[in-house]
Amino acid sequence: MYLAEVSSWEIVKKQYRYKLRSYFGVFSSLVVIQILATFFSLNGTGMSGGSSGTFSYNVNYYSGDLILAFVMIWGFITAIIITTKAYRYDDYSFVTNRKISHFSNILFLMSASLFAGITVFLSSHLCRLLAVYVKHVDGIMMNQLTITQILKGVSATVLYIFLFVSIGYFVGMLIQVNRLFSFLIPVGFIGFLIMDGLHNDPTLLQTIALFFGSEALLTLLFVKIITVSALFYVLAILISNRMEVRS
Amino acid sequence: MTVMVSVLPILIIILLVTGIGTYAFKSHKKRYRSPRRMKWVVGGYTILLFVATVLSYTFFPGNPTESISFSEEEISKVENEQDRMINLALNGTLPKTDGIFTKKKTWTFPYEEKDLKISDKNEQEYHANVFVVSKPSDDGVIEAAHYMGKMIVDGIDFTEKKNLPKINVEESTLRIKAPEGIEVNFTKFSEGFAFDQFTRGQSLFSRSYFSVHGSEFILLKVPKSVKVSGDFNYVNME
Repeated sequence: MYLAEVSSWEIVKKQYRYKLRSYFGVFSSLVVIQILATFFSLNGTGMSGGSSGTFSYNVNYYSGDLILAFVMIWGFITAIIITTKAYRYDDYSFVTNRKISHFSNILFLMSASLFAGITVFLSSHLCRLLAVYVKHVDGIMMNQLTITQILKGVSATVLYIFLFVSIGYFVGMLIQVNRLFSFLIPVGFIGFLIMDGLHNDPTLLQTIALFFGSEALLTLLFVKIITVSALFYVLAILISNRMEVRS
Repeated sequence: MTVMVSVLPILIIILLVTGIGTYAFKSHKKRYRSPRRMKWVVGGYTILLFVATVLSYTFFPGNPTESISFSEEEISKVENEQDRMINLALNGTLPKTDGIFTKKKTWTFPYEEKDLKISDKNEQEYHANVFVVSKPSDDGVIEAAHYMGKMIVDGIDFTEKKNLPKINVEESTLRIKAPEGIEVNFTKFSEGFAFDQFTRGQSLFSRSYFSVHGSEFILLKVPKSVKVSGDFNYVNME
């Protein structure tokens, strides 16, 4: 019997609010990464050309692809950083346990993914504007997206970032259990890529990317990404139970 | 070296995220609140992005591609239909061209000779199939028509931009001269693959830059008694 009963959910909310304030550096690094990606994108993300008899054409492409790719890597690394000792031990300013700490982390990473996803869409337009002003690119053709299409695109962007964040969280937790994983994971990943490409027909990354990228229904993409992310988070939580208790 | 260049952006991201993240966390520990300057930077950047997006949609709306662009399936269908019709014509039967080929220009030449040669000497970098139909009577007129299929570059129709060949008849020779060359440069913008995935049904890997170069042919209707020589195919019209 206590004077004030505090539910776990209340602590999760408190920790989440605390993390939004104290992990603010995550958003600063996002800004730097996006500015960098925007400038890289200013050179265009592709070009094609051809001719047919007396007709020839050149097409330059500007897109938010590079910005999204950079932000997905940002999400991955950010999630790893959050699992480090310095960040984890900070949670003990509150009455807490590991589960509460994980849930508040996941909530924070969700919010970070949401903010990042929205700003990816916005910064692709900053890139377009800079292309018009700085690179003097005229006559840019673009798809006129409806509000629904914009919302779908932003949602998909957020989901892709969240997927990378969940992988990062899992990887980070593995490294926290044993430092050896910080060496084994990149070596294993590159090793798999090399093995996969030995027969000049790499399929590993393509198969994974197609599993998500070929999905034409947002609902199904949502189900796929949330399921895979949940799996990574559950694994991360289970792994963290093997870690030593803070004394 | 190439590997280093491709890995460089990832290394930069890792260094930046780790550096800024660690710095921000340490400074937070000292002051127990996020540095005011960081809030201003993030807030200012977000406002800048909103303003840029509003400007992008309002003052620089871009040329919409929606109304004139074709999907990959549509382009594939157009290309297959063009090829099918040309092949049928090469085998002697020209089907109705409705919707697949458009008659762009017609010429008429009064002609009283008995022989006609189709010249190809001036056709630099230009080749159009020539199909010849023998008219049922000797009306003393050669009718020529230029038919053009859709020319689509990266989903956008450029058929109207393409110039027409020049045709004339001199001393029992029909000459086809190449049209003036034209070069088209344009820029396409997309918000990213996550947007394309749900807007035009393009998956991550099927976002190919599809084009169809547009077949064309010249149809000649010659008087019954005129004998034609040169590079051409006789056809019957359906």
